Amino acid sequence: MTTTVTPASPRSLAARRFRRNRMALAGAVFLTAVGVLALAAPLVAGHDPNTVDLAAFREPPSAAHLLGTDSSGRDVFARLVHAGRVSLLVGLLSSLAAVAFGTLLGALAGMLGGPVDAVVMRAADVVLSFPSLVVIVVLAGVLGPGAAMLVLVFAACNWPTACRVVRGLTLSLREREYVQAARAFGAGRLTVIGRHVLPAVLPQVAVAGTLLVAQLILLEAVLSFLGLGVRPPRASWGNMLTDAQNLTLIQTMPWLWLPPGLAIALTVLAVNFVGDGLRDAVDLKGVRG
Amino acid sequence: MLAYLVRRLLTNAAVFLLISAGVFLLVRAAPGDPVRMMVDPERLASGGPAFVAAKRAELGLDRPVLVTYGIWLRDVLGGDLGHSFVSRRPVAEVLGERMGPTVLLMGTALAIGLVLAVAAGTLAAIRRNTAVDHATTVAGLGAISVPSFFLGIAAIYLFSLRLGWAPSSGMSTPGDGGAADLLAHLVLPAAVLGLSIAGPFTRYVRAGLLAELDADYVRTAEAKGAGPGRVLMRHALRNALIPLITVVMISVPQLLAGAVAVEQVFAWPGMGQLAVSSIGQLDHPVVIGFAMFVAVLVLVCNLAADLLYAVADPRISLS
Amino acid sequence: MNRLSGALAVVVLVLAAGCSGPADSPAQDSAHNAINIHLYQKPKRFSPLDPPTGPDQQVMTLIFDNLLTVDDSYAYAPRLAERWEVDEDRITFHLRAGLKWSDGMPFTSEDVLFTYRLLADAKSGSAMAGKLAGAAFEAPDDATFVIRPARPNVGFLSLIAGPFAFILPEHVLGMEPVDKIAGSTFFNHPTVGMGPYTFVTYKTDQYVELAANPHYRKPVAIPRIFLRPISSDVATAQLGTGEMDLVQISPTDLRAVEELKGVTVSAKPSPGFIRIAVDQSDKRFADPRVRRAMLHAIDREALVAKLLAGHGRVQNSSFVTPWALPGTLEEYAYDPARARSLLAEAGWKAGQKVTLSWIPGQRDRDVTATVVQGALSAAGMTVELKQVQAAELLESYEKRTFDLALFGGGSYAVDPSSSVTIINCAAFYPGGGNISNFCDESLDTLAARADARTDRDQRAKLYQEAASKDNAQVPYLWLYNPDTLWATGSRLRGFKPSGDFTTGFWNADEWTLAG
Repeated sequence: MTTTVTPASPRSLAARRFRRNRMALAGAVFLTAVGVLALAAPLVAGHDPNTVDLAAFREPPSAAHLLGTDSSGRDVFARLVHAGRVSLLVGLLSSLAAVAFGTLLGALAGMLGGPVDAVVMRAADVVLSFPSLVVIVVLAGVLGPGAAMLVLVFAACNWPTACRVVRGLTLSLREREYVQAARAFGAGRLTVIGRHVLPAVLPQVAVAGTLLVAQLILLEAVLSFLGLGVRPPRASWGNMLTDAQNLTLIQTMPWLWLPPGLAIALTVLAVNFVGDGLRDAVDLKGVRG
Repeated sequence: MLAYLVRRLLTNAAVFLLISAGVFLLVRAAPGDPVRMMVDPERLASGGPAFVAAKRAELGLDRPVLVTYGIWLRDVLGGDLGHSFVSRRPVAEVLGERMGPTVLLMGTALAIGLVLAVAAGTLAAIRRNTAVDHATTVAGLGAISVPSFFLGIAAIYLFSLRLGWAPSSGMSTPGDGGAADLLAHLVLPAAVLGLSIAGPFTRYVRAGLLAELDADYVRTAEAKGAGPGRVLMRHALRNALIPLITVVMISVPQLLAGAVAVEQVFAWPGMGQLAVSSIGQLDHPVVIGFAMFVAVLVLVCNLAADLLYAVADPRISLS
Repeated sequence: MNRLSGALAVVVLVLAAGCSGPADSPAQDSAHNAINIHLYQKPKRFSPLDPPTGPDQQVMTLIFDNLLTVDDSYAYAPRLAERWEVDEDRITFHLRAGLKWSDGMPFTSEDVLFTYRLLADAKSGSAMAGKLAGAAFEAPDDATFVIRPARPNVGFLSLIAGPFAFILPEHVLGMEPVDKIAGSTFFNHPTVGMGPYTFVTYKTDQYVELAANPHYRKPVAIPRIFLRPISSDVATAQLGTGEMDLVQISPTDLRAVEELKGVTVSAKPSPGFIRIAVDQSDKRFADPRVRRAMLHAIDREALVAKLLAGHGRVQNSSFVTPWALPGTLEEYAYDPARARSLLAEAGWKAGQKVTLSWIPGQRDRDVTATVVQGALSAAGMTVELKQVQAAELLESYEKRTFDLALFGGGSYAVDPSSSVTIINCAAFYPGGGNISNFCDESLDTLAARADARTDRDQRAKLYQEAASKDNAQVPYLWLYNPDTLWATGSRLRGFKPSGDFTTGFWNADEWTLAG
């Protein structure tokens, strides 16, 4: 694959359009910062995220504790950056897995058609019909709760989205002249998928995947809010927010809920900006001015 | 068309069977003994092995899973979803009394969400690439980026506690039960849920409308001298909304999931709240009943979406 | 831009109209004669046959009545029985005369006999059948009821006093077959009772509505009661707006509640305590020095001071009844150095993993678990936290697969015999409440001898001896005995707070409305 930058190449056009989208760029910068903080958590935290200190109970922010301490006297900032690791990892890994699986199945279904298509699409229906909440609760019991379980279940419940997108695209691609021509020249279906379909659907899939990351970070937060997600003492932004269920704490101790709440909202927003920017960038029909 | 419908219904029946078996096995495979759950562990009297054994037999928990599944399936086909372990009431009755509040909440939220989405999406499409458009996009993204339970808590804090505009939880003031009272309780949860719905829908409206505005017939109509407002209302918006209908159909089950957290925050006595508490209490019959309800909802909505799509767009053939 | 702001303005207007209109007007008239009570959990159904759970018991205390209850100082208080005599082999109850059920039918000792036979019959699905097993019941005349326990047991009274053993109407339930009665729909809508209030409706998970019982043995002042299961912080907030009149609050909310105008907060010691069960069928924990070391490692005073805002006491015994406790108890003061040396003496091997299981969701438990983990780790134990569902925890008790389990509750204040089930050799879970699998036969003998005596001083002496043994051997890591905190709005008068929240409404027939 050539990467020569010619002004006409759709890829470089897309890159330029993305760069011109200030929101998307800001989102990307913010995400990079969050990512670096999360990666470097042990270095920047300054405290162990799980060490309890009864003498420093719900203390307001100070020089010693940048964002104060929580109900167990743990440093909120340390927990925030360590939680970032868990929340981002769960979001990224599960959406990557879901998208990869969904793309593969979608391309196969679209390309092969017939019974394969029918089975895959019905399977997608089945998966969508399983209320993921029930699945997650039960699996949490069987597999033991934790980040790994969440990734697995999120991926298992979310592949149909990408699958549907890719199948639809494949169906229309299949009818295009160049694909027909390749088939006429004797290229196998799998070759066509690898050569023509995957590269063609990649932009759309990237968009779907990015937006899925945002959804799944949110889902992790919601599940933890309901007490079904990542379990303490391991911190995730979701379970740190459990304190937000108490109105007294909301009123009097904002350092306990504002940082994780903002972290979720801003990170998800940034991911959505990036996804949105990507969508606009790859959507050729959207070019106008 | 008819043949297609029959085939879809048959596959759906097969899918339903598959799902019911899966859900049943999963729920029953979950660790924990529902009978033990009935004894509050914090107030442990004697667990009483005799009591536990008798209860297990009474609830049919002492029989193999496949046998209970067979019995359950037979009863379901006869219209009996079983009895709740906890309240001993028929599952259909327990689910039924929760359906009203959930439908009310979701319906209102959907209406609020759609109105917001159509208004904002149209505005954004007309004023494409202006500050209005960008603001709408950012607002839409913001709406889907803030966790709805968080928004709910903030709304309670602001509108209930600080301003005292609306009650903070529940569906009615005990002893009142009037329509105005219901509306007051409905407003906050429906607005919060509606806002989270409006985000993604705005995007569809905007994109659909943009595509339509570019379409030849709009240009033709404009060339013929139709005013922009007329073109918009008569042709473009209507055509743009057709795909939205299917999107709405498909997202109904997801709405239900979104409603779970909102119901929890506002103590709204709907199905989501019931599901969460039933899961915690290992009330198997209710959990299974709820899961099957969601499954049926998904199948029906998907079918409806496909049919609507075909009806709306003659280029698609169902075969 | 104009259109956007226009649209926004419309939306805001619509929302505002929806909000402000109804919220300030209705409910006030009907609410005028009613009080609103907070329930900490959702009630399920109202059956004295079912295993007791808090909210169900709270409601049943209002709609049903029993022979006797426990008052705000943990003393027996008469209800349907005016007085009673305790002999070594029997308890004789003298019922009040001229009582009527809420539907106007006469109440007699036959109803009591019917209920107790049902409660003692395992076929009825009664959770009390085990406790009442072997006891004989008689109703020699309309106003007298006699219980003969299976073995001499002076503490028997404590099994039936409190929010248990509510008397059921024979004229309503008498026709139901015994093996079907537990599932009767009567227990979803128990409209006939002997309590100060009658059941009107239960809007599932929303509220229970009760109305004053016109046939109650004396006039009831408050015509209507609503009991509402909502989260405690919302209930706390509603105290401030007057939407709630009686709320059981948590120490976390104490500060906010104390700032509310017209709200009274009262604190009473609860009848149980928060503890950690230590599985002593596991050889690692069989040595009492290991258990003592763990107590020394935990700064329990700090937990009480910080976590409970001072509203509680450090617990050092499995017994709670004041007269059953000896004058001095080993206090196991916070001393990490002592903890380490005790562990070394007992030959504790560093590095072996110990799990601490608990059911998450209650703030005080969650914090305590992390604090205990940190404290034990500091003393040289490797502790791993394990959050479990209630069902998993109970399964691990039964299979003895847990190491340490944090839990709380219990009702031990009325009579020391109620503590015996958590330490008795014959009461290993699930046969009894001895989750720690602790066994000291000499302690059991002392308790059995005590319960065969009617003389209170003799019982006290024997129980104090038993309590000393218990204190030395540390069957549980006792943590703290929290206060039960009640907050009442200015409208409700006559509420006498009890430390046992399940009997919190024991004097509801004396409540009045202010103004």
